[in-house]
Amino acid sequence: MSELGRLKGTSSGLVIDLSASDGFQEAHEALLRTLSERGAFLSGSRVVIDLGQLSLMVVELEALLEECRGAGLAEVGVLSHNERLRSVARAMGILHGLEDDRAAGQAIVRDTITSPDMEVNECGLVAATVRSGHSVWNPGNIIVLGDVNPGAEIVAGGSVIVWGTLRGTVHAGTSGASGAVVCALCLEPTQLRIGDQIARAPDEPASGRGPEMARVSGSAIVVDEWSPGHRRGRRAEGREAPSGLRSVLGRVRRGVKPWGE
Amino acid sequence: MGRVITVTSGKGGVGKTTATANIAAALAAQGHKVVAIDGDIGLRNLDVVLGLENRIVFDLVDVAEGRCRVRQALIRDKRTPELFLLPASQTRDKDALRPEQMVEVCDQLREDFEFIVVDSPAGIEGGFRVALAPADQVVIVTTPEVSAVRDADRVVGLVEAAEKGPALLVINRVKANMVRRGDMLGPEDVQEILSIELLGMVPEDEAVVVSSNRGLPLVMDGAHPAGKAFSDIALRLSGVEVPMTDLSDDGSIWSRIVRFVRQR
Repeated sequence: MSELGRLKGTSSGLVIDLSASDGFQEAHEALLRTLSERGAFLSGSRVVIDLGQLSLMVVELEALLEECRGAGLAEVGVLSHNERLRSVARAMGILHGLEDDRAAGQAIVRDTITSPDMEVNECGLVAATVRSGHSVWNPGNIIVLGDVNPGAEIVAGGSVIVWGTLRGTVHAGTSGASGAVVCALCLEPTQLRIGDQIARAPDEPASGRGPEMARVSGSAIVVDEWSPGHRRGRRAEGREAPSGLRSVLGRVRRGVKPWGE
Repeated sequence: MGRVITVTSGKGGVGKTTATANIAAALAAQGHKVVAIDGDIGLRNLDVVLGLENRIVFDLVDVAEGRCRVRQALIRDKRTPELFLLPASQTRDKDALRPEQMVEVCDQLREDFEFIVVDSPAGIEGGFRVALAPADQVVIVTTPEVSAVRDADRVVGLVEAAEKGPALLVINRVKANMVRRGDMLGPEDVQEILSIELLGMVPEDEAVVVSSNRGLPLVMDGAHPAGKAFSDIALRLSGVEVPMTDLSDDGSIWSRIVRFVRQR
């Protein structure tokens, strides 16, 4: 019991640790105890409450926040490992970043029919097949461990990497950052958009190619073999980076047409 | 001023999308300016059957919600220049569109197109009502099965209640030899139950599956019996009188002999 409600000083400020509590009742009691014992010390300061894996209802979270405000705390943040609570706190604008936040922040497959917009930070991981009608959105990069089926949609501010077969529609680089790429073990998208460029697959399906990478070169999307190891080797030897000609060759070989051609 | 033709069925899987694609393609091939609208938001198929999936940038919901102009969302068919597609959204659901929005989009299209063919989703819920709202003419597709006819009957009633009747009937996937043996409902049986005007009968044809998979409507692809039936349906919709094809005549030598003997 002594641990519960303990006040910790961390690099991100003062943290009231409620992560060991079993439920709202216990967390609430521990919070009240800490606030009454250390009220004078905490008054006017910025405090984060750590809820750990605890799953609370929205009204319960609001009750905890209300207690904190009632005790005169200037600002309250929330730390949580609970996916649902994180999104609630995020919506309230009080979700506090964790050191391991990037690892915890998974891109969520959003079935647009059942759930509202979701936001994740930096790199989002989708360890599932993304099926028709699913839409995955992330302001950063997106990694898919699985296939992206026709009718599915991946929208990323940065790059998209698919460890599987990409057959759906992908829009990478929506944030306007140049250098966004789309990689897949098998790149057969219905449609490919990078930044403000758009391309569709050739009408005649080709198969049996290896991993490929699509990127913007000039005003067209070009597709090359995806062999990062090979490139690293070349750079280490001090040779020139692949020339523009190589990109054009890649495009001709692959035949992804710029939109409208 | 264009006509809005809504293709619906009640039951799923009877060939609404195939009928929509082929009727639209046939009308376009006959020289009319046609747009096919996919009303099946969230489960779109018309783009696949027409082979235009990879050209979609904007969709019907984008138009209705004002994210683009209707012209920007239209996709011109790669083979028939008079045919256009207005695709559905795949990442939204039926609630994304209200009937009055559909009416508004169709009214914009009426100015530029002679025919606006709307592919309705299965069922009799919101999506069906959205597809029904702009209709000047409703075409009900059924197969000669009791369950499909039962659902079609329900839809006939709903269409009449919405004052969009009388609907026209397309009987799809008729197997002439089974009808002859009495193992399948014949067109007369279906009509007796539904008592609406018959627009056409389409024979069961394996080429339909192939054409759907290839994204090439049957009417664009040579002389298949089902393609011929859809072409006739399109002609009838544009006011041309075409006699009903006798489906028991499959063109084989055996059927000719049978007919010859019967005529004696």
